[in-house]
Amino acid sequence: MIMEKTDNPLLTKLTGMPGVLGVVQVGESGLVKSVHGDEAELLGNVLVYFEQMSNRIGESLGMDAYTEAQMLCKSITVICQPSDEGSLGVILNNKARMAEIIPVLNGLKE
Amino acid sequence: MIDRYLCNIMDVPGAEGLCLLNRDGKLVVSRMPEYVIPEVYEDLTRRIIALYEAIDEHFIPCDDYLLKYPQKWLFLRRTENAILVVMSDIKINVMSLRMVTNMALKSISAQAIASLPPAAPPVAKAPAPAAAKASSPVPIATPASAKAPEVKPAPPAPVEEDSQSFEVRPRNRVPPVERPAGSAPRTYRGQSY
Repeated sequence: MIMEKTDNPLLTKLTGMPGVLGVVQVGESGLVKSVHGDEAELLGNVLVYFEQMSNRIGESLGMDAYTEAQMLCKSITVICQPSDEGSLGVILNNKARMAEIIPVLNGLKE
Repeated sequence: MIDRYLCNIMDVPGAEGLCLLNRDGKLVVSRMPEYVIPEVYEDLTRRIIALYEAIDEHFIPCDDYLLKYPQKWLFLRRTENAILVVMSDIKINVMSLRMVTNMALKSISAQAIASLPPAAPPVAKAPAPAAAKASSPVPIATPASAKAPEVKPAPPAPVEEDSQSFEVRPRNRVPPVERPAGSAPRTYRGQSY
C-alpha cells in the first residue's frame, strides 16, 4: 500500500523545499513506503534495482556498499541514498539547491 | 588524439583511473590502477551496461551517473559513441571533472572508437626482481665514495603516437641516461646518476 502522507517531519520538510519534484521511500524488499510527486512513483519502481546495481558495480572494484548515487539527467537530478529501512530517492530540478538538500537527506538517512 | 584527452582527465586532482567502453560495453581503453585486476572488467562492464539499460527502459534515459562509495567515487558518462568510467578520490571536484570529461567525450568520435581494438586489460605488474631494480632509471641516493655497479640501462621503449593499442603507462618516467662503457659513475650532490 502506497502512502502519500508521511509523519516524518524531515521528509515533510524535504518535499516542501524548492526544486524538489518528488520523494520516494522504498523498503528493502522493494515495497514503496511513501511517495510524493508523480515522477517519484516511477522512481520507486527502479530504485531498488538501481541501488543493487550500484552496489554490484562497486563490488566489482572491491568497494563497500554505496553511500549515495546520483542520476544526472538533462533536466532533473535524482539522488538515492540508503536508509535504515531501505532506500530514499529524491528528484530535483535544475533549480534545486544541493547544499541545502543534502543535509536534510543525511538527516533522513540516520 | 584520444590519448591526449584521457591524459587531461587523469590530470584532474583526485582522478585515479579511467576506462573507456564502446556502446556495446567492450573495453577499449583502460587506465585503472594496477590493483584493478583484469578479471574485474568482465563483470564491471556488464553491470554498467545493465544499469544504463534498466534505467533507460524503466525510468528516463540518463547518460551520467555519480556513484559514491566510502573508498572512491565512480563517474559514469555516456555519449552516443562511448561510455567513460572515471574512478576518483572522494574529495574530487565533480564540476572540474565534468568539464574535462565534456571536452574529452566531444572529441571522441565514432570513427576513433571504432578504430581502436578491444583493449587487453592491463596486467598487474609482477614484483620487480633485483636485477631489474639495478636498471631502474630513478637514481638511488648513494654516498659519493661508494662505487656504483656498472649497469647498462635498458633503452626506453618507443612510444608511438596514435597507437592503436593502449596500455597502462607509468607517469613521470625519466628516461635512463646512457653512459659510455667503463666510465666512472657520475655524482651530483652525493647522488650518482
